Amino acid sequence: MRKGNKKKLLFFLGVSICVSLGFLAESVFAQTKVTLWGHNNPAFMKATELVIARFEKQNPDIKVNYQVFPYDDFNQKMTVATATGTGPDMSQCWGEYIPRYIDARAVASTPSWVMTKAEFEKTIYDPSRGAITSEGKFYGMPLEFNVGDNGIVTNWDMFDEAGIPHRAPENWDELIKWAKKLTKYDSKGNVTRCGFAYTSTDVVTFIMTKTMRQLGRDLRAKDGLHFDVDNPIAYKAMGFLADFTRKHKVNSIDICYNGEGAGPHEVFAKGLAAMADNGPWVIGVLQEELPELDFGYVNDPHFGELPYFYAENGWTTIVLEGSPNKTESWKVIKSFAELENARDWNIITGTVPARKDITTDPVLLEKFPWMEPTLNILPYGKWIGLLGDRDRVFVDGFYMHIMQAIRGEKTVEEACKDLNSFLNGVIDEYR
Amino acid sequence: MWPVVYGLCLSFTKYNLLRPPRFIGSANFFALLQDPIFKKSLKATVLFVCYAVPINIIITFLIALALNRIVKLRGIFRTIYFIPATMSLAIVSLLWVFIYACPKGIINQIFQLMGLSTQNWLTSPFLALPSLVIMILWVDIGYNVILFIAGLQGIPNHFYEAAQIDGANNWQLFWNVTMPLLRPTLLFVIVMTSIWYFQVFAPMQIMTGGGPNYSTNVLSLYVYNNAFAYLKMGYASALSIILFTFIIILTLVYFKVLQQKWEY
Repeated sequence: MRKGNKKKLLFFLGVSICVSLGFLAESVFAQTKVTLWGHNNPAFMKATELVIARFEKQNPDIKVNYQVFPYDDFNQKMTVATATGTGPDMSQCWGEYIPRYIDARAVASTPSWVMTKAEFEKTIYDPSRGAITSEGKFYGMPLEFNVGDNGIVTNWDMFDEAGIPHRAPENWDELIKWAKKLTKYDSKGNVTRCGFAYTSTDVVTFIMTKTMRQLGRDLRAKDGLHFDVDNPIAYKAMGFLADFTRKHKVNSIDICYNGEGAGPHEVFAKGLAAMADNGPWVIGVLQEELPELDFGYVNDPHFGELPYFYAENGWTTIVLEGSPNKTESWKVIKSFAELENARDWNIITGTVPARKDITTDPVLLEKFPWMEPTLNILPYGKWIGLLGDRDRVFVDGFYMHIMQAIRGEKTVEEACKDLNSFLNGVIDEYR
Repeated sequence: MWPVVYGLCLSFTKYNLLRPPRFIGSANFFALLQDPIFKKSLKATVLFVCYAVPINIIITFLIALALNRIVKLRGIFRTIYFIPATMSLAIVSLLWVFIYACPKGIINQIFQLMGLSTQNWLTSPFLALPSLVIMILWVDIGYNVILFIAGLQGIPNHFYEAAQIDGANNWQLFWNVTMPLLRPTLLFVIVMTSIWYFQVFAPMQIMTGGGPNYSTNVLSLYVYNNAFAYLKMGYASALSIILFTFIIILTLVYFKVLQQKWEY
């Protein structure tokens, strides 16, 4: 063989060996990439990134591509992507939207190696599993026990100005008395600062429904599916809500209004409310956005002996049926459900744990003392039940009809009757 | 045409994107008749169009007439009026949320300086829709001014000269020469403005979310919510068909009333 040909042969041999080694290295160290979608709440993002970082350290063969979307558009984005087959492997999803995905066979049921059904029922609170359980299976893994209200954020500086102690009001009468001291009015008697802000979609719904339950009446009719809000207890509950604005004048629906459905915490954050009714998740938001604000979080008062309330199935992570990486995705979700990760996720986001064992973990209270008022009432929570269409029930249903009563456009009885008819129309459509 | 035909087909189905459409006949259209929110949306849409279209036409026509008489600086004034029309409607909507804010928006601050009480421009069921009309007019005036100016400048001068020779005064010139000869432009502007205002969406979604109490929940927003928030694609398609029908009827009426049957 000539020298030149020998050199060429050696060169090509060397290149072939290098390329082969490259392919070998790629297959040995290959990572499976899975995509997780979430919304852009800053506390949620921080918590999720922390758990993902821990998971990837323990599982270097799996890479999680975490993508976030604006909160307001997230549900629609998720639905359209799922329908068109362009969705992620897994997604954080509001629990009450999951039934429609279950019906459409678009989500995968949770395998037993992630958590068995018995363990699921024993470990997870009822409201966090209601909407994601169907025909003996459950779908996804809850991230939180969503407490929609049951607490009040309080501006301690405003309390000091008004000479009110830093504690929870003992009953609704005391809350109203404090709210009147804290409310500011202009020269024409219009509220310029709410003593007690509460008129948002979620909060009015939860206050009305829990008031009914505390007064001894279930939200549902005897069949357990249809609503029953056309009765004297419902009238009383709605009237109670309306009175804060109409009779006691401690709230302004104009100040609280922000495109139908904004949280009272937004009004509170702007300094336009001294007290605002909200779930404990606002603590994470307020700490993130207003770290210098001196605020507290105390329990709502309640009627009757015990603080019964309703709760939605909150944020849950699901695996889509169309995912080609289901095993890896479930590994990620299992990681989120592990004790330490789940606890830290709840602490950072200010959400109540879905796992019962975490709520008795002393580390939780040590790192998140704000959680105490909410932990005390968890045993009294009940899943609100199948809603059919969550947004219509909350927005066009409860919120709109309660606001009609508050504005005086309808009497409380008329509003309740119309609400009853509307809600059951939604349920029948869904069926 | 295919999207229109597909929308018409979908209006006879129950379809939530996640499962295939299911034929339900005309159930969606019967549901519309009993839907109180549809009636409120229809009312909001009709009121919006009835307020905004005539005011727009009158204001833009008067501005165009005035600008047509100006020789110097005409270009600058035209530009000033047209600038809002070049801005993104979403950005303008956000801007006006701050302008209307109560109590610290610009308008309310001016009111306070004048000794007037502040108003809840976007949160009062009575003021929200008129506030949106004002905002849309601010955005849209420039476009129609340009069209009217083009129409006015397209009228041959000899008609005015002939009329003046016959002793016509300014009002007679305007009523007997300008108005008839501007009719095609007027028809075009009214039709296009009405079509657009029937379909206006972004300001309602961004500034009021359709509230308070559905007072600004125009049909296009209700279509959007039904389609993408409630996942009722079939019902949303039925609503779209109704909206389309209204626009077609209105356009035909305009053509019948305003169409010019002669040429010059």
